[in-house]
Amino acid sequence: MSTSSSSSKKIVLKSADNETFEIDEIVALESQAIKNMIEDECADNVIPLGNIDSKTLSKIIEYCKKHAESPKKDDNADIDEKAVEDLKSFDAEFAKVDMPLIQDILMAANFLNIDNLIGLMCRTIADRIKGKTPEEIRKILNINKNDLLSPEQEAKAREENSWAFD
Amino acid sequence: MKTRNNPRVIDVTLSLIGIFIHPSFSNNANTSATKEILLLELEQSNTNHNSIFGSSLINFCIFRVWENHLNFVLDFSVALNNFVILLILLTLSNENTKLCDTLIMVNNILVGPVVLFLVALCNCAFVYFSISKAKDSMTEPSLDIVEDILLRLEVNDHIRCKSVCKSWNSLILSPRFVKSHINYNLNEILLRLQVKDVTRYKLVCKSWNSLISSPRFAKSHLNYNLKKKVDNNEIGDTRIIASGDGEYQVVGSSNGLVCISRNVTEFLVVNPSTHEVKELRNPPLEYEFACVSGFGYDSSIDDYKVVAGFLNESRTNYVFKVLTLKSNVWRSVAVESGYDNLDGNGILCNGAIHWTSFDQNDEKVIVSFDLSKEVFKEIPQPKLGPSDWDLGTMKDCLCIFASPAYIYRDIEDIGIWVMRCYNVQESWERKLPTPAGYDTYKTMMDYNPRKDFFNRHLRIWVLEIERPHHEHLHGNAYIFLSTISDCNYNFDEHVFVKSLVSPHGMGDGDGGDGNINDVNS
Repeated sequence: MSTSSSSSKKIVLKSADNETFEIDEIVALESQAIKNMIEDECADNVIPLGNIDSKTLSKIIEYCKKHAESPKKDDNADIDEKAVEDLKSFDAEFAKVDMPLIQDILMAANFLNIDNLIGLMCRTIADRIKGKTPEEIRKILNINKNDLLSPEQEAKAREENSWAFD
Repeated sequence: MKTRNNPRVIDVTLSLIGIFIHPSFSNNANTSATKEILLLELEQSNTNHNSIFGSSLINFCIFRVWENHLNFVLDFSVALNNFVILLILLTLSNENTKLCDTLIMVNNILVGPVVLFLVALCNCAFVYFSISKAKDSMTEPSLDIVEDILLRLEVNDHIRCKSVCKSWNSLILSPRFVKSHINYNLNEILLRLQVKDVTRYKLVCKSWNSLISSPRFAKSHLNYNLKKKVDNNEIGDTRIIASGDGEYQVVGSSNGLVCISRNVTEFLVVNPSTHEVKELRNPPLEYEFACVSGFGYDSSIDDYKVVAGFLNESRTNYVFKVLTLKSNVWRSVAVESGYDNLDGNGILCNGAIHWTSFDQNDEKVIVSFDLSKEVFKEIPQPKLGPSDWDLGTMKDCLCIFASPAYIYRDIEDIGIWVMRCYNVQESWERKLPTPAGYDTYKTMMDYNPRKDFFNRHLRIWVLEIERPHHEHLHGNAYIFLSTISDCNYNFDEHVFVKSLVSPHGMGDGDGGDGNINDVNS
């Protein structure tokens, strides 16, 4: 838990395309990676995020802001239902973006170590591939062509698991 | 892991691969001087650890880093106000060391003085590992191995890494690693999907295939779904029964696997969700009667056990045999149950099989068989009047169904008695105090007659229970659920969860060789 004195502190993030974002420290603390850096006192200046572009980063900041503002579960056993619902609907809205951006956000969330966001993105991807055929999934997720099964392997797998294709 | 005990003994060569000076730093003066100092200090560090590990090799090599990686590292160094990046390649000379062991080793070393030194030296050391089989050949590290190490580091050794340096977690993920594919989170994505979907997705590509086919994934998928069921209070909402000319019985169900017997002489283990079947060896038939059986998971050996009790020749006691699924071999249980009259198929709960029996005073008792310890024990029961009842489970708790069907029953006893805390007599609790139509707690919503597993008449039915219901459904001879006790008693109905667990292959292997799942049913 951060103290109130540190909550007013600002942190500056720099995206891969050199755009800077100034955010409250409390928002940045949603990222375990940045939190660690702050605790190690390695985050005095601008934090460059060389592998996150500004579009992704601004989405992530949007997410962190909302979640930093919301009451945490362990703070209070009976937080009001409305806040929970509110956060849920925010998450649902937040995830309504195209698949490449979702993947970018997921990668960045891994990098920044934001557990809730990783979970949300995984859930979103799972929801989108639910009930699809393997071919559709390859397209949706842009699966690497080099990783495909050989036609023989594919035929064998299809036969062995034929019940799943009913 | 065997190496965890004494990591220092292992012959490890720590090779310093290269030092990269950040461009911004290069612009400054004194670059070469600083470089020299660093080299000197690093050399000393090598000497130090040399004595620690008793290794003789120090290799200075040039290490080629792919661009991405280096850029990232450099960027981060700026971020952390640091100026030097060290890349260290750990050449582990023990050829037989498995990846897992290696990882533990690496971690143990990291907590040691070497890394502490490095951290102190440059605050931001990006440590890069690889494994090389040969002692002094510096092979280009295989990306797969590195990735695997990083993955495991992230998942299993999070806390340990943090103890080295809090910034470590963020550093351990290189962009190459995170970039360009979702495989890093694949496990987490796929375990949210249903068995049927996931099975179909074996065809998506090789990496999906090997992940989904692996026992490791089957376990995490199961655990995720079990937890979800517990959270949503849905345990027990899916049940399984078998039918077919009265020959077949469900012996038990555990983690999605169902053991079925025909007259307790032939056994099968089936995963109805994935349609996999494993036929078990027949138990030795020196005894004619085999009337007690049970099936469950033994976590101490990560295997499933089938238990069968046969009446001995004088028909005074049982001889128990146990089969472990991996071995598919029957062997005798060392101890005797000490009870006769054990009834039918046991109820699995808390790692033990439970039957009812009668003690010397002709009182009905609960007898358990611990699957790990393979010992019999009597389980305390609530103080009920002279009555009859059946065993079952409810939300993972052992329970007693005392139904009003037995007319001599004391009205106060009727209902479902739940043992909230396993093996604690005081924890028995009367759950449903005989409401009108008490028999309605659950009902069948849907059932799936699967295809015939044999050319005989066996059918397996997965029942999904949705909401309370009073009446018998349909006139179907096989499936009508009325009272809870009826379900357990008459139809051998067992709590069931859908899973990917295979009756053929289990264990810790990750099946990562890209082979297609070998279903030989």
